[in-house]
Amino acid sequence: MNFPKYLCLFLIISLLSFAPGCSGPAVKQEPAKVGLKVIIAGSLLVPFQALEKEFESRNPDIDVLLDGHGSVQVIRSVTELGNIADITAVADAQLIPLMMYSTPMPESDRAYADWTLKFSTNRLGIAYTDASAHASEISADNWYRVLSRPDVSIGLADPRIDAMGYRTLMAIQLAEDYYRDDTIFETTIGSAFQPPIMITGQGSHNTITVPEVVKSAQARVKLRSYSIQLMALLESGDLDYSFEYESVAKQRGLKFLTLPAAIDLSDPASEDGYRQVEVNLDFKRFASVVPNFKGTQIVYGLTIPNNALHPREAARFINFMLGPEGRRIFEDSHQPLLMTPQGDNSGVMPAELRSLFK
Amino acid sequence: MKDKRSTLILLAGILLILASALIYFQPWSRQLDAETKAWTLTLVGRDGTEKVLSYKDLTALPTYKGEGGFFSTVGIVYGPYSAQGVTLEELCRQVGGITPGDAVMISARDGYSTVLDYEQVMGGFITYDTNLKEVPHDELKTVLIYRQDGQPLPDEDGKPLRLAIIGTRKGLLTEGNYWVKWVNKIEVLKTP
Repeated sequence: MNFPKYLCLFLIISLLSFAPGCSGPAVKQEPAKVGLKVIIAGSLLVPFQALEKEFESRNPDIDVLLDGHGSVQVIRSVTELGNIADITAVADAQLIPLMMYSTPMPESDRAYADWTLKFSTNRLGIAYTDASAHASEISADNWYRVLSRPDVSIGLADPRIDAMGYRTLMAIQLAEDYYRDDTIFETTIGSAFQPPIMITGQGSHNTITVPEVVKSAQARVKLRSYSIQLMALLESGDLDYSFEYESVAKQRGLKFLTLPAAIDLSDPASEDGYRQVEVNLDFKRFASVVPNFKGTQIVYGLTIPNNALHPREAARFINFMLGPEGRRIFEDSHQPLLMTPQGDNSGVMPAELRSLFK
Repeated sequence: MKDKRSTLILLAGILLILASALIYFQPWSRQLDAETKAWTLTLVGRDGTEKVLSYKDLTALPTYKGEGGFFSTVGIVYGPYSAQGVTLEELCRQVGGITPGDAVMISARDGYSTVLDYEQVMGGFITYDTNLKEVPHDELKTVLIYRQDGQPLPDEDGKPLRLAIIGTRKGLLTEGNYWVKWVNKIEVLKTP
């Protein structure tokens, strides 16, 4: 019997089976791709997924790695949680200067970012379906009366968690001025909350104060943390109406009621009106963010953080996004790009992007 | 002579296999690291009573085991997991308890915080299936977990302590903003 020979064979097989990386068949190594980490706001997910596919097919050396969060969390993941991103893109362009320009990187004099590229906008309106109560009669003239009816259910994203939530409060408050009816906030949603959401006015300026704990005491007003949950409720027929971005509602095949520009936070010409409302949160979710949000046009912004690992590839991606293919993708996603991108501190942008502003 | 040599080779082989198995399974990694050993959880009661628990103190409290997962702002599903920890109700009890109308603030090392009302402290949450459709649940608890799928929490999941909503029914999800990572303070806020 050749016992030692079999034993040695057994040992070699045993050792190989424990050795990491040696258990699979040999495969031909492909050239390593650049992993381009792109962290985006949730409402950008659909166009960015399409961009990823198109960009990668034309740039086989790059693997786009998408990650989605709420806008504040997009920035915090870089400035506070130690994640490295090549691009950060958010649904409120103001957040980049606010949270990145003055926050120094570890062991460096440089801030996390020093420029912002504003590239897209959106419109706040009302998403609904054919099955929604009174769907056949709702219009831009009567929506607030329809939403006040006791047999109508309304969805509201939590203003403490989701930007859609505090923007909804702003839109409803702006409606009071537009329709000259100071009961709109109270009759649509205001009476549902316990403790109440308070509104204090000074001249034409109104401040909405959201308490630390927000609960709806009326079954017809459904409060959920994220607007994505409200879309699911609409689709299942458990909800009649919900405020939503136009792009998200249309991407999901829902009906969308367009509101007047003075209310929908999309119109640069209405900016002075939007500024007449602000939302204060008693609840401070992030130690680094003062929870005060001023009414302003919805503008999406992006930057390449100063600690990005692949800034050149990031600039290539942004150029592609703002080129004809990217513009088509955004239009197909019901979220048009700005006709001309706008830069904040465009003088310090990478050279590859400065040409966008000539 | 030949038999002796075979025995020696056999012994050497067994030792090699054992050594390989030790390297592969790394049982020493289950020991607490310095960060976990040094972690403290501050509990503040409704009357201001303060109590600081070490990780070891916490894990000595009555344990709750359950199932649960969560989804993010953009609908990405994480879990569900089998998790183990101490209920928030029990932790409040450590500093005088909580009464209806009170709220509880959960704070974390990274500056994140969330506030739960009394019902949520007791497990009053809406639950979802993995398609994010609202579905009913059986027993549900709000728990400060320290083990997930039988292991201590990895850092990216909030090592060593994370808030979680878990219960008896498998496959259920809740909203991710309540799953606070790296929890280091729990404060009962009494009714004004």
